[in-house]
Amino acid sequence: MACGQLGTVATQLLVEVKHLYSSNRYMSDDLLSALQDVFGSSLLASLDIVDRKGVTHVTSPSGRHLYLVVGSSGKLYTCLPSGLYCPCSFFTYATLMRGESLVCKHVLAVQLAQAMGALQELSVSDEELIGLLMNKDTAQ
Amino acid sequence: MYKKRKNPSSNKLKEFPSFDSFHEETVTHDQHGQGFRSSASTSTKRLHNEWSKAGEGFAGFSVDPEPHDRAHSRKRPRIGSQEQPGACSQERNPNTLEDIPIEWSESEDEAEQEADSLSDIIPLSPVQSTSQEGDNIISSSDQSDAVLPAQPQISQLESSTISHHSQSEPTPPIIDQSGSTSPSIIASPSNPKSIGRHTIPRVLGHSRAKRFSHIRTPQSCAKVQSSVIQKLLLQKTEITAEDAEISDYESASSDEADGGKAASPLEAGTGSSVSISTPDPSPANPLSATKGSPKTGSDWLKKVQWQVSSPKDGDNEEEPRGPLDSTRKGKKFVRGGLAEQLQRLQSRERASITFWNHKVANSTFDPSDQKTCLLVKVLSSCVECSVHITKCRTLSGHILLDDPESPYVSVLFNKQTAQQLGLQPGNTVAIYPPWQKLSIPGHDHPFLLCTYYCQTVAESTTDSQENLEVEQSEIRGPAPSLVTNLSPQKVQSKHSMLTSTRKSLRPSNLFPGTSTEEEAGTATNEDSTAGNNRLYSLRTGQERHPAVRSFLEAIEGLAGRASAGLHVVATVQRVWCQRHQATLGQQALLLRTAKSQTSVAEPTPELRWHLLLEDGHGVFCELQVPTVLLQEEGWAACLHGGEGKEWVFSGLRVTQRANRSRMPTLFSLIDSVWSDSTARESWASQQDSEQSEASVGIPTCLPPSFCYLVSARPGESRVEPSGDNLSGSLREEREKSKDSSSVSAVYKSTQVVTLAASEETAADSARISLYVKLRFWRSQPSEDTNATIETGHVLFVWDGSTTDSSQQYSKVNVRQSCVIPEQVLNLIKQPGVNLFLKDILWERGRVLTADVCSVLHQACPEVVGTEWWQQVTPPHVWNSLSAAATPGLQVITSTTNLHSLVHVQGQILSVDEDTAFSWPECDTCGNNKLIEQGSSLQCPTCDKTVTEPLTRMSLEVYVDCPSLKKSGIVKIKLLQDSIQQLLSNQQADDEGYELQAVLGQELRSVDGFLSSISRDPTGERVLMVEEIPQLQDGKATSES
Repeated sequence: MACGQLGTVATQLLVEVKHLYSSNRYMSDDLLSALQDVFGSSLLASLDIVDRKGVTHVTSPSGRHLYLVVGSSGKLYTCLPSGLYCPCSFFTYATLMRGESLVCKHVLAVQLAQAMGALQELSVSDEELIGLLMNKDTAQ
Repeated sequence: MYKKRKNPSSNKLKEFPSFDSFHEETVTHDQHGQGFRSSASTSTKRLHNEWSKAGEGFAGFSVDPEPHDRAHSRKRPRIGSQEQPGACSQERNPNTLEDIPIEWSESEDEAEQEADSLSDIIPLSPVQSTSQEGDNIISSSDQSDAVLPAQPQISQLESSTISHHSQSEPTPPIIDQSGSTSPSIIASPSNPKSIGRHTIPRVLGHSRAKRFSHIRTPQSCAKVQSSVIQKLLLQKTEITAEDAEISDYESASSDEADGGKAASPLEAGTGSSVSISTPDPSPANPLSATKGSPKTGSDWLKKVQWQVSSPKDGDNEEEPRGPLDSTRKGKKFVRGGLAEQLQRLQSRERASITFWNHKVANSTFDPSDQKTCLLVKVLSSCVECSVHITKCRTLSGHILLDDPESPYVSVLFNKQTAQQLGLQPGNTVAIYPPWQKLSIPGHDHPFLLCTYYCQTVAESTTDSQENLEVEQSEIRGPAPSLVTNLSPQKVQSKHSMLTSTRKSLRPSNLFPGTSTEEEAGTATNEDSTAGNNRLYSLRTGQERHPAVRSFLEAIEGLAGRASAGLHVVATVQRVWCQRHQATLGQQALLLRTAKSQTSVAEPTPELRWHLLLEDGHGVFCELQVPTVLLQEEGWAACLHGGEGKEWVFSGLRVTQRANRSRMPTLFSLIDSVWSDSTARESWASQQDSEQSEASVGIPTCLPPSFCYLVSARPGESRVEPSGDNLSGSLREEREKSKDSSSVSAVYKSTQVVTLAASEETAADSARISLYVKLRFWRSQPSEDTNATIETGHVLFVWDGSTTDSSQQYSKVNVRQSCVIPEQVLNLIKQPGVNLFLKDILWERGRVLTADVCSVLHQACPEVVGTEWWQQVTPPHVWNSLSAAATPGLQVITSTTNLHSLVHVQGQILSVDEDTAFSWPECDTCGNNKLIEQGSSLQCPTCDKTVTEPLTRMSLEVYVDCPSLKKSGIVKIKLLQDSIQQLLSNQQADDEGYELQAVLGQELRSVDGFLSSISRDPTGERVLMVEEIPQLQDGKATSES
């Protein structure tokens, strides 16, 4: 997830989520509590996104892929698979500039959806994916 | 979690504004038609007061807030159709005050809001924004804004202001916890026209980056302020949409760089709270902001007021807008979703932590707690993303960690806990359970999470010798370092890395009668595991504490941590299947979400197993088991053959507590299985023969008045036969009695009666079971007014017990909620089948009812399969059922009740030609839509040529029955056999049968169901009868 001890803990917790959820389709209160401790307030919003199936894994024939996360206002945020980055403002300020939050709710939603197997899959053409990538900035 | 601090930007005034300019400003605005709420004259008068006071240079807090307040509320303009209740003018306040850093301790909501509002900021360049239409809307709002005055008088001021305000404007009070948006209205006295323009770029362009800077401010102010903050935070209101789009204005310095336009001092002073809007681009206020924050009590009050009275545009009010929705108090998460689960969990934890904090607030560490808590010495600490990660050495309670290999442990403290503890390296901290332990492959020591229940231990209270020992061990131990230790010394990957402790309260003092042998039996065990704390592995879901024999004790034992799940021994009294009520709601929800999302969610399971459990003390639980658990061996055994036996359940969740008024149906079942305590007492005395009578179960004299609803969850809940898991003494007892396979003493089997005996039941209502022969089955006629809602079945049954000739059958209403197994459902379509109706509801003077708790079995003389609904019928019952001849039905008369079975005999008067037809049917599959291909018929379903099609016929005839004595005629819908018999003398030609041949014929005796009574156009009563198959010697003579 991220460097640092907290990142290590977070990564391990997501592994736990994967273990638990893949076998049981169920999230225990304890695990939620632990996630809450590490991710703080982002978790609730992220789980809401996952509940609403707001994370879509977009793939194209070229092998490129990315995640589209529906924010709470209905905006789409493009999160790239190979980096802990989100174009949302929270990420910019709270995570990057202030270092106060490990990730934003969108990135966390992607991680959770991956771990829980709750990704919506969407295949698009290369052109469409390029369009998504090119419009990345406007997605803000 | 993140901090929010006040902007440090220069806030001191260099120059006080003159009243004149302020007044002018007001008037100007008025002239611009900005929609002031009230006349400016009163406000100017008041303002005059204030400004003159201000001119005397006294310090802020003693300023009478009311004038401000009024002035502000009146001067608030409406800005076109914009929803910003944005302030209009700049104001200057002479009272300076250093700005204060505000720590938001309860900042979950707020941080989320922040996140959301951040996401809405569009970073425009200053130039762009000034040039845009609508720039005049600037607002600033944030929690921090609401909190300004560092003055003890504030609370008074607040109340006075509010009450005053409510007089003038009946807007609901008051402040928003999370989004205390309160842009104050600021007049710009020196240059009234300069307001909006220069601020716009700052708001839109620079605001956020500035907001995050830290500020240092006097401690004294901080205290007062934080108390105000707390107060504000307590008052939750909905965040208006404005909040979402309001951005902050904070930087004064950037202003000045902005084309030399200076900020109004107060604007800078109020930092983020300033909001200005002016349609008229005018030069900026030349007054430059100074350092410090001249915030006054009145400023703050204005903000409060603004919130109270902030105008809301009606058209925007309802609609949930923007990301701030996530902080709305009433926000609905997906039902049954993880967010909802977390939300509940959060509120539980919050409450629990609040209690804890209250408890430890004034207490010091009790050394006797060392057994129950983990005592650690903090060696080093660092902060990552607001989380304090400390490396600690365990001083005592190490056994709780269940990880004897390393004396070190990394403990994560969240910000609040760290603050409360005053966490610093060198501290000794007592960590009470519950906490969670996470072992990470590659790390030689575990991480502790969720450490909310902590207490700092003063050095003097810890054992000095122990301290010494720690110091020494620190020296010789590995150097405490926060650098990740990568030595793969201990890699655990096969089993769970995450464990959590449990609080296991023993409520035996609350329920003196509930103490069981279990307690005595596990006392030694407890001592060895250091008190009440036991470790619990999340992955396996296996608890180490033994099952208890009381629901109450098990439920109480969950206090604080409901996630552990119940672990109890109980007897299965009844098993039934039920359509889960939430299904409809969930499906509607799915449909809704499916509209917004392209994906369609998987359908939810429709049925759930329900078990009525009784513990050893006469307390009942209804256990819901999802059908998916049937795949597990233990559950399958329990559900299929578990009734009457004792089982050990673990990992059950308490979902609800029901009482008689809430769930009358369930309690009618409970009443039927509940019996007085003799059985239990005998059992208890058998178990505790050597103990005094104190350990006997609660003498139950009254039927239970409550029932816990618990549910099993896949992967978490387990069931196994009792006996494997019993404590030693209990098992021996069980072995002695040699009845391990036999029925539990608590079990009360269902009361099997005959139809005749049921009428003699003493009670007004009862649950009974019947062996019956089915005469006729029909979908529920619209007998009840709510038949459209609940359509079930009606069974006409008979069991040979009634000797009264007028009682040839009884009706059983089968409600929709009663789940009939598919096999049984197929069976009841064939009259003559023998059924076992289990736990149907008998009520005096009413029809028998099979409701949600009732089960319909097929009555079988022997076990044919292992299906759960099959039950062996006692031979004598079976024989009597098979042997008894079905009595004939009563002949239809004018007084025959609707929806009853009748016998019809008479002469055919006429034929309803509309209903007289015949059609071919496939002899294989019964498909009646055959395709004609030349001379042959093709069945599309079987995909073959039908060589010998069955001819189906429909015929309704009017019959004149002598028994009706000319009071009406019977229109009877005949079955195939009767029609064929009528037409047996006829030869069909191409046109069909000759009508005349049927007329006048005597209808042989036919049994029928009187479905409706109507009148024909001539006014004659017509009794609609549907012919039913006749039973002879227990078998249907014809098929329906």
